[in-house]
Amino acid sequence: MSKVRNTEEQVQQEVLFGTWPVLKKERKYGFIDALLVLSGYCIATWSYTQGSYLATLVGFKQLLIGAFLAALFMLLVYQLPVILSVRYGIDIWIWLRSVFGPKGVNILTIAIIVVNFPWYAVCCELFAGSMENLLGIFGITPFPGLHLILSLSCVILGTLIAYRGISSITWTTRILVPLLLLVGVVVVIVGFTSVPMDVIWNYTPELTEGTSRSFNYILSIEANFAFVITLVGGMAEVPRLCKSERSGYYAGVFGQGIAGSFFVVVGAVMAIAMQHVTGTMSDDPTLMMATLAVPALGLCSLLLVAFANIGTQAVGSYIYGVMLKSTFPKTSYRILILVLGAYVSILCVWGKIIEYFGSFLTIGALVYAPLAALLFVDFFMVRKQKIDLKSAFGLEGHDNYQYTKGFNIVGAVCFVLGFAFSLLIYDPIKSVVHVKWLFVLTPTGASFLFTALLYLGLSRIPYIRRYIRRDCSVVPDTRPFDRYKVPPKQNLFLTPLIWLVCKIIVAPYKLKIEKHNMKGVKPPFLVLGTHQSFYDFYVSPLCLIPFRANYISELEGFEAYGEWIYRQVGCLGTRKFINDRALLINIKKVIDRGGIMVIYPEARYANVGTQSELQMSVAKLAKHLNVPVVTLNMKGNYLLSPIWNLKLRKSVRLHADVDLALTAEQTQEMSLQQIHDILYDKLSYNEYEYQKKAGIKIDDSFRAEGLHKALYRCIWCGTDFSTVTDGSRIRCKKCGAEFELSPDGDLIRKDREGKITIPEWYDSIREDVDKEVDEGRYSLDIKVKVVALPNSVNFIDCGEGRLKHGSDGFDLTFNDYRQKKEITLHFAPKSTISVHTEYNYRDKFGECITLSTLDDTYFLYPLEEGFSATKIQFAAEHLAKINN
Amino acid sequence: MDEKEALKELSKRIDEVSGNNDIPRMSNKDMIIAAVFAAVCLAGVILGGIFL
Repeated sequence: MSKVRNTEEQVQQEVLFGTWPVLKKERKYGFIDALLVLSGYCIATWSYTQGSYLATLVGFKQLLIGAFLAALFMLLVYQLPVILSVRYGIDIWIWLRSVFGPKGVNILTIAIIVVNFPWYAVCCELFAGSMENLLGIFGITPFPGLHLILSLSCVILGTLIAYRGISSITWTTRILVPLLLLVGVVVVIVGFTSVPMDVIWNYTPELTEGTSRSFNYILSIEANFAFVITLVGGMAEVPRLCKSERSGYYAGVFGQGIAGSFFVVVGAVMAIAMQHVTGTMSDDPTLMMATLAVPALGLCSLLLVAFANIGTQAVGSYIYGVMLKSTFPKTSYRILILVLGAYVSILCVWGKIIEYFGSFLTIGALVYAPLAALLFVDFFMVRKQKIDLKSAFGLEGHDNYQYTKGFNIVGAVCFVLGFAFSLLIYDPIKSVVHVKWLFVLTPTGASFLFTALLYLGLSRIPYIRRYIRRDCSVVPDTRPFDRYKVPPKQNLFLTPLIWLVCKIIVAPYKLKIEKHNMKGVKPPFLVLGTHQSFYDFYVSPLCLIPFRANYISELEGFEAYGEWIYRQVGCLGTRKFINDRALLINIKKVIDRGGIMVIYPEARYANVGTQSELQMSVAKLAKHLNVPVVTLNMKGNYLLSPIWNLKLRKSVRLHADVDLALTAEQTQEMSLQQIHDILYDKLSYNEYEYQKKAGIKIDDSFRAEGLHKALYRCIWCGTDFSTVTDGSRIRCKKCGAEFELSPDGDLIRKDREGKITIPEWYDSIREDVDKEVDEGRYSLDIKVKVVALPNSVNFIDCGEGRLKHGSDGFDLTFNDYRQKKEITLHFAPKSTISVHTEYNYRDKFGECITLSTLDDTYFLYPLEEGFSATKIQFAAEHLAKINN
Repeated sequence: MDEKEALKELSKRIDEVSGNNDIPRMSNKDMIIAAVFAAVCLAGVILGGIFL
């Protein structure tokens, strides 16, 4: 009983500690050590089966090329990710949790065992063959059923050794590797000396019906790919013990590619020699030695091979038993060993594993090819050689790799499609090629390429990237956005699609476009648009038909939808409220190449549907560019989806006025003030006035929800942050004043007579804040969560910080991810003419403001009470005004 | 080692290997050599299929 418990504990320890990162001081293997260990793993008796299988397909020269060059090629590619094993001291199964999720890896483990374990049935078959030969030497004729009894006895003996646990396995391994080497040496000597060399060198197999030389050659390359790729599961644990990445990598490459392949070639030599002497090809080394060598040598070799097969069966049962134990920790190790033994027994009873050797080899490879492709792409291109180990090990509070209930759907889909893709090319059971031109790549190679490209392509789609790169806060991409990159013209082929999509999206809201003085206006020209909601980006392209244009966009849009698509749409990336010289250079480039540059000078969606300040710099830009200036005054976009509650109000109708505000000549003749005034006038708007004029009734039950974010101060009692909204109402928690947002857009007092418009309320708060600032009463000092956006790839969590705002501007203290220390960034009042505000960023992250430097946008989320994005915006705008 | 201690030890190990753990890395030169080696092998496989 205690022995049973001891084995279970040992295996449990192996499961637990065997997966932990191996520290540098614990590493044992240099290149030679790792090479020997991995070579030992590769040279099982099945190498002979592989060799004889290859000899049925191709001539000896092609066999050599396939066994060495094809194997080395595949190994050089798919072994590359083992450098992660060395770097972090982990095996690839740990890394694969990031690709499939922990539960996904569990299922994969089972799949791997299902496709890998037939190797051990091959061993049992070889054992049975050896024993029959042994009996033959003693003149005993095998009776029917003996072969099955012998193969099952190999299963039973191997399982028994594995059943006894780690100490038995250690001893078995110590005996097994020298045994196999000894058998190999004997086979080489006998094989090469028993027939003339030119018989082997000039050997070519006879073509069977329905095959061709090229088909057989590709099939042999496929078999070599499959042979090396299917051993990855068992070899995954060695590289993490290596002292350098190079030694781990090349040990794997040469261990399989040279040592493993050598024994495959030996098996082929043996098979060819046997055919030459007896007329029958054989994969059984014992039969060859009994036939080609002196009987005594044959007898010894028979015993060696017999024990080698039992040993291989035992070691395989142990390795995969431990793998299963980590998947099913509550199940007894010994039960798992028995299950594995039962699986091999079923394969032995079936008795056709040797006959279907090529099929099972290819099926195994079809599972491993997408797996290897996913690992390769994930390591080098998606996660860029960095992993969140705490999430990979599932430590508490680290769940980046939990994905969807423990499964990474994207990884699973790629894996399944990669597997299916290879089946589309080739049916390994019936040996039928479905797609000839892809078969040239071999099913394994084609599946590898397809899966790699699919996963890479999917990882470039922003939504999917965010799903699979949940660890980016731990291992982020910190490269700053390339602001100087020349913006491409809007993609010519994409433009009609953009128009169609925009048309479909705005169709329910009956957009009416009115053009004024636009006859004969042709690019280049500058377009200045009002900015009320994301719908501006759908309306603007439709207003400019038949021309395509470039648009200025905040970088977070690039992150949300992907840099490639944003650039194809014609967007120029920048950050808000900074002095971006690169942006000016790119605007000039767009105009100089005869394009249309669309700018939304307010730079921020209207908080309550009214116009923001228009900076004098806009007039300067118009003068500098010396091209016509067109204004695009859009109406209804705010009403449709106000920033404080983005839910669509279905009854809204959209309108847009496109107007040639200034000719190129006028921009040169007029003063900056004149230009500014004309533009300000053309871009003025009040959405609630438009609502009344257009007779739009907004009666959605949620129509006031979120309004308190903009109207954060009670108009009646003047208390900050006291307003709340519910349905169509806004009320003060402190004084109880309550207003109903009418379908016309007015706020009607519920508890007494009176009404007010939203812009009136908003402006009164602004006046109060201006007064606070003027009287020196305004200040903010608050704990914030700081999230940086350096590029179009990812946000970076910088942890907690402190935001101070007062008459001297903003001071943001936080841990800078670039300098890896706490810093304080100062933003002077006159440089922050406004701040970007969000009331519920991306509908889930809550209220925030952003402050930007040239290379980072910092999203600042409050961690304490007393934060109002609107109030900070008012104060910043007023401070900028009085400091300029 | 109880579960708490085990987790502590695991966390310590993770921190150690996640930082600069001084394991000699594959350099760009090593990667290029591997790529050239792979290309030569692939060329050999293709030529073997065509000429042999």
